[in-house]
Amino acid sequence: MTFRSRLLIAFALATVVPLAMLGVGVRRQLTARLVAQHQQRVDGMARVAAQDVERESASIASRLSTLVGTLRTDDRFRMAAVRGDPGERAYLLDWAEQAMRTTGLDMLQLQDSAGRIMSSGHFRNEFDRLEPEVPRALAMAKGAVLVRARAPEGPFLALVRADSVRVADRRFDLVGGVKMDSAFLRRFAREEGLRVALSIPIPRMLAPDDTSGLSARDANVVAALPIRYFTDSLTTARLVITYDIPELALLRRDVDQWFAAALMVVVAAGLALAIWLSRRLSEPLATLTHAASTIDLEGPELTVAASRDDEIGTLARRLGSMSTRLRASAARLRQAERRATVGDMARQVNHDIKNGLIPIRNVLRHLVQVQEEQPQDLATVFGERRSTLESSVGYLDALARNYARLTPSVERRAVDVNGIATEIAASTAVASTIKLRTRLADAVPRAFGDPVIVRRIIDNLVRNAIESLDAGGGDVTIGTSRAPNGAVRIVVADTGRGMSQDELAHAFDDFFTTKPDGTGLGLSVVRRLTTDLNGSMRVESAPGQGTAFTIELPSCTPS
Amino acid sequence: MDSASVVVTSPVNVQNAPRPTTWGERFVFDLANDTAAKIDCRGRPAPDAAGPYRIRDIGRSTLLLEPITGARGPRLTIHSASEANARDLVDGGVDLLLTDSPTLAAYAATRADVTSLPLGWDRTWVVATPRGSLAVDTSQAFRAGLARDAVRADARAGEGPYWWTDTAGCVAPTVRSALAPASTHGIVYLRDDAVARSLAERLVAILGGRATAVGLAPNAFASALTSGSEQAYVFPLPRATRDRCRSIAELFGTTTWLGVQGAIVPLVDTRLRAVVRRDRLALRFTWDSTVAIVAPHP
Repeated sequence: MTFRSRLLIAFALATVVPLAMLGVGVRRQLTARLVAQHQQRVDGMARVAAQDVERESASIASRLSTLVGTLRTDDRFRMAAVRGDPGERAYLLDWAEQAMRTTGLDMLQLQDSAGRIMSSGHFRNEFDRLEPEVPRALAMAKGAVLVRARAPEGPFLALVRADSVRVADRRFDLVGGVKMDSAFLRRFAREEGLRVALSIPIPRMLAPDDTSGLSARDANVVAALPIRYFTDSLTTARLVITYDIPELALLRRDVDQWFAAALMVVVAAGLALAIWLSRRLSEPLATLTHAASTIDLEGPELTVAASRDDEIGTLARRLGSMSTRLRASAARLRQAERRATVGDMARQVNHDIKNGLIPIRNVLRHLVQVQEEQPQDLATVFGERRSTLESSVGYLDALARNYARLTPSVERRAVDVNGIATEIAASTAVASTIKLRTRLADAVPRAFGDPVIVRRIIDNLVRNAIESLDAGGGDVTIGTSRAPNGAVRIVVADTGRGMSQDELAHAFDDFFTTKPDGTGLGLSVVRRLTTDLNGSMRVESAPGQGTAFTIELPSCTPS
Repeated sequence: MDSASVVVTSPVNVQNAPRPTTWGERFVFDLANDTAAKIDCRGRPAPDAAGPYRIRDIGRSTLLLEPITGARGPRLTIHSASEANARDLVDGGVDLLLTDSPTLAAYAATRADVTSLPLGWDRTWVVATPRGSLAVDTSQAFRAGLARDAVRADARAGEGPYWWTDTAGCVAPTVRSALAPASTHGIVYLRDDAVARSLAERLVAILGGRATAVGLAPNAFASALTSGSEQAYVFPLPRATRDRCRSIAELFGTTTWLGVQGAIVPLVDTRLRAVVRRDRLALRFTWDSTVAIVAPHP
């Protein structure tokens, strides 16, 4: 991850997180204060609902009591239930339905003392089913109880009470009540925003129509009213009253809108600031990075951003200082190397001159001895030793010429490499067994260098190649071409002896030679001259397979 | 007599023509049909049957039936009424009351100028189950109890023989290879069919658990019956058929699951009662235990 990205993320977090905390805090405070204001009211509603439930319970009890009264004087009921008259059985089966309609109840069943359903109003054909638990539970509860009543279309919740009647010494229980559905619950919601739901412990939260969405988030104000509930045993259900404070929703929406607007503004401003700041920081760093990547011990000093008075300026100055120190160290190294090279060369020159002077000195001593002992033979002996003197002088002359080549003065300009190669090929005298040829590309650019040095490079390589050939002769080829990087490529290849790996390792060392009469300076000179022209050099060779030297010199045209 | 009023205590929806979904519709559609109800109970042609009729729905559950051109018979005003409304109409004077309610028939028969006639047992209510039989007792006593206590119609325990059990000589019905598990615990019936509702509710009461009785509209019921997706279906089948194999093909064509694991259990037989004003209308019993109106002689 880039520095700029990190800075952007940091800015985003630094602006969004506090704002989000502020938004949440404001929302919570608003909710808490409004809920506290309305809680008392909802509690009052819950008390009213409790009174309503009590009133409903009393009403149910009253209606059941009325039915008990009618049953005691109902002869057809007595005939069917007590005497078992089959002719009145249909009347008995239909009695509860009729009674339920008459009294406005939603659930009514008549059971004998064993709990057998004799007549059911809400489920007419449920007759003869044993259900003694409900009358027992109602007797224990001594009040209204919420039960799950069976119906053909499925069960429903009903608020029920029980009553009993004795006819001919037989006890009959009446269980009746009203449906506890959404319509019933809506009666408790006397004000807009109030919602009433029923929560029963088993098997799950019942949702009579509109309790869906009754979540903690939306239930602004909540009050719960316990109601006895019977399934397998008596337990407690809750009538949950919630109030959705209208202004709270509006306030929340306003807070959300303002928060969203503020968030957008802050994020936009933060991003803009972060982008500007990261640019301010990262641009000098990028420049410094680029400058650092181009630090050259031969180039100018690093001055980028050095004038700044901040950390980046300090870093630039430190980098510049380091570059200066490196440059000085490199100069000292070069100087030391040069001194070492000069020392080596001086010792070599001293050695070579001594080697050249030794035969001369020996000849002169011999001549002096002849002059003293046999003066008449001096001319004869001089004649005999003259060739030795000339040979030694020639050697010294050649040595002097070779050393002179080590100190070239470079004058760079456009150089026609093909022209030089052609000239060298034409002027170089070779034995008849040797074929010196050129293979020059047409589109070779002009090299940027000194024509004398280029001539010396090619000349040395050609001579080296000729000398590498055996007595049987061979081929020497001067080739030119344009390198893929745009440089001017010169290849001098021969079919001579080639070099071993060890010889290759020392091929460019000063005074290293494999030839009996070689000076060992030719390739060393070529390497130095090539380096002076900012060129590169490589050699490919194997014993018995010849050698190819490749020189690449910078061209005058851009690559 | 040029006109007569008829009361049927059954829903009649002319949109369901020509396939009746209630006995009231069957009575009306037969009057409108040129070929129906022209054979008496002995199988002899009944050339004196009235009709065929053109049906006009004039609202308030009232239909006006007029003989088509060239046909004979009185103009009929047919009221489809609940039991309570039927009592009002009876008190107002009707020429014919067709009802499946014994109590209503008994009340109507208290008038001095009428004759109450029980018709033949014409329909058998069955419970069809796509996946084996229901876990209920289907003994004679149980079915008699259903007829006596559960159904508020003139009913008896179902008594065979039944044409759908005798498939000899008929083309083998199409059989569905596989049936998906039941998607509901519903015991379904046609919404306007009071007898089927009573039977379904009694079955639910006995089965307990998650079983429910569900009344469906005719199209939904037909679709559910074809799919076999419900636990059970309660519906009536005619006790008599002129073409046994054709009726079997129709029944098994609709309920292709019957041939796999399905079962069809007869529960109760029912019949209608006709309370007719004397000297106003002439009735003829037909082969399928309904009545035809006899056209007056020219």
